[in-house]
Amino acid sequence: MKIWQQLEHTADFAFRIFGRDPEDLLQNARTAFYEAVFDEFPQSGKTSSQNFELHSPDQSLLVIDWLRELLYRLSVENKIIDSFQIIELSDTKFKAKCHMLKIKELSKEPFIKAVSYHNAYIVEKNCLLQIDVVCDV
Amino acid sequence: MNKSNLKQISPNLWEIPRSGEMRVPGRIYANRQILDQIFNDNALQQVINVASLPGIQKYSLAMPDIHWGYGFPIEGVAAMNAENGVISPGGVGYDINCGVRMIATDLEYDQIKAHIMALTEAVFNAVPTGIGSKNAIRTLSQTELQEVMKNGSRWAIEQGYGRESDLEATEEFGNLQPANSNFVSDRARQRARNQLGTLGSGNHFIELGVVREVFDEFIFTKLGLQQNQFIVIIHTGSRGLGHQICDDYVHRMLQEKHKLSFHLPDNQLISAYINSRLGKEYFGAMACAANFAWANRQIIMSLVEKAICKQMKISVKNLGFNLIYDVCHNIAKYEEHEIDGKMKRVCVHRKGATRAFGPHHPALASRFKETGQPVIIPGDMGTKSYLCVGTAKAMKETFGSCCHGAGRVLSRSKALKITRAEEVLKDLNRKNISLQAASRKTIVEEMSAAYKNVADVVQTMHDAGIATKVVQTVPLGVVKG
Repeated sequence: MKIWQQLEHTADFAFRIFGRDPEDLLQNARTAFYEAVFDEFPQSGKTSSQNFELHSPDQSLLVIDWLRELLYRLSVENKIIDSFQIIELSDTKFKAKCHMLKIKELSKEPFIKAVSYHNAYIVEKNCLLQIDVVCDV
Repeated sequence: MNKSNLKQISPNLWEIPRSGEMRVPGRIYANRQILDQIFNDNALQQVINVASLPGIQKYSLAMPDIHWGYGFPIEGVAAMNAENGVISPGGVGYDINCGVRMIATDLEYDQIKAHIMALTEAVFNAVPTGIGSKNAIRTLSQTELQEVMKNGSRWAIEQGYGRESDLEATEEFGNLQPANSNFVSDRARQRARNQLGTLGSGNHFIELGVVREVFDEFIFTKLGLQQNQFIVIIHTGSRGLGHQICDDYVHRMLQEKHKLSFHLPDNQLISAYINSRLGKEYFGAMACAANFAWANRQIIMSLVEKAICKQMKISVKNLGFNLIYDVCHNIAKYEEHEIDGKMKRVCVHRKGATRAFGPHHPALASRFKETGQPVIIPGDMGTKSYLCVGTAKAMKETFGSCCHGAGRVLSRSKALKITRAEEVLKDLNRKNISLQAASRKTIVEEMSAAYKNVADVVQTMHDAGIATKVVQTVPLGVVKG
């Protein structure tokens, strides 16, 4: 199954994330984000664990808020979320135990500067969930 | 949406009549050729969406380079009732107070033509560029950052970056109020601390250029410009601070979406009532980012001045670095405009649009009373830029606003597929333009062919009487992030 694909966007960077269910969509959002940002995924760094809790008005916004969190941790704290286990997931809440990797300071910040909420709605197509995400670059 | 839905008002002005949830009609400035391009994306739907926001006055406007944005279209202008209207971070954009300043010098082309490559390199070395560029000046303490966010350009001048006279050649005199740093998150502060005086990446640039063609001799002379004059253009904004503030407030406003009493056609168009707690907090934080951006451009200007003096081995006095004007093109501001025959206080959102106040406007410094406010409209790195002035007609029709540039026609990924950095450099070389860029990828992504023709966009504004063309400049050297 395809996890994500880049979409054509004249001015910015857009991509579509796929998932079998909301949990899968959040896993694949993490993979899509790092694959888009890194040519080569950083392998080493100091590890730590942290619980994350996000609250959003609906599940589509939860996905965007998750991506916003990944961007902030990476661009300001040089941390990537290596893996995570979902503790609780509802329409409006996402709680997970995240295993973080503190990587060397990036020589360049990610080219993605912000993750927008523009037209970001989870839809079901061919028995798969998908959401389109547009990022400011 | 197609052309048959549009009503032609004048040769360069088209109207989307009110329908559905629109509270006002939409109006788009475009010539016939530009109009064809507008239908390439969903930007007109965004004009319609903006027209549905509470408190919008007269029209949901779009300038000729309208294209698809988040929430608002790029080049969108909307004035909201300052009492009961809304304010929208999507109507300002992520890079709050992204803007342009043009600086004149006392040097002529003949004096610098042999030094262009060295000057471009000197400027590139003096101003940190690229994604995440930092440490142009020391890392700011929390107190210093607060001062920057409160005082804008003045803070930079007090630290020795520039002169008092720069303030009156800066929109809002380089300081938007009420700015309140209590409403700026720790995350936003964290992103800002080491980014003051840096250019950033994407379409941000520093251009070394020369005055090439004069369209309006009277205003040209009034602004103190000279034929063949060496000029500098700086285009950047509020860096990570603005992005984080926009991001924080879109998120916070969406959490309170249920409090809005209107249908929201796009989450990124999320708004708060201007006089609500959240609306006021957003304005206070946005003003902080606007002030940071003005300080940023002020510091960069000073770094460029020093670099040029050092390279040319001349004194600051002999360089004569004189700010023509600094305009922002991503902002929301309280202004008074004539609506239904009465002056009314409104909150004007300009998203990828420039303020273009006409002559005798009270917000302008005395030296611009006769000319109108200078408006800088840059082209891409291989082409000309324009200096225009605002008009009385702009005050009547567009809340004193005009276009801000020419947007992309080619995505970054397509640009990377069709050419290589070497080809772009060869093309610039043929045009005698020296380039310094932080990354080879940027060179390709920012090539001329990826952008619309800025001349068409500016001509449309000129023909519509919204801005008057004064001068065309051409690039000699370009620094890209």
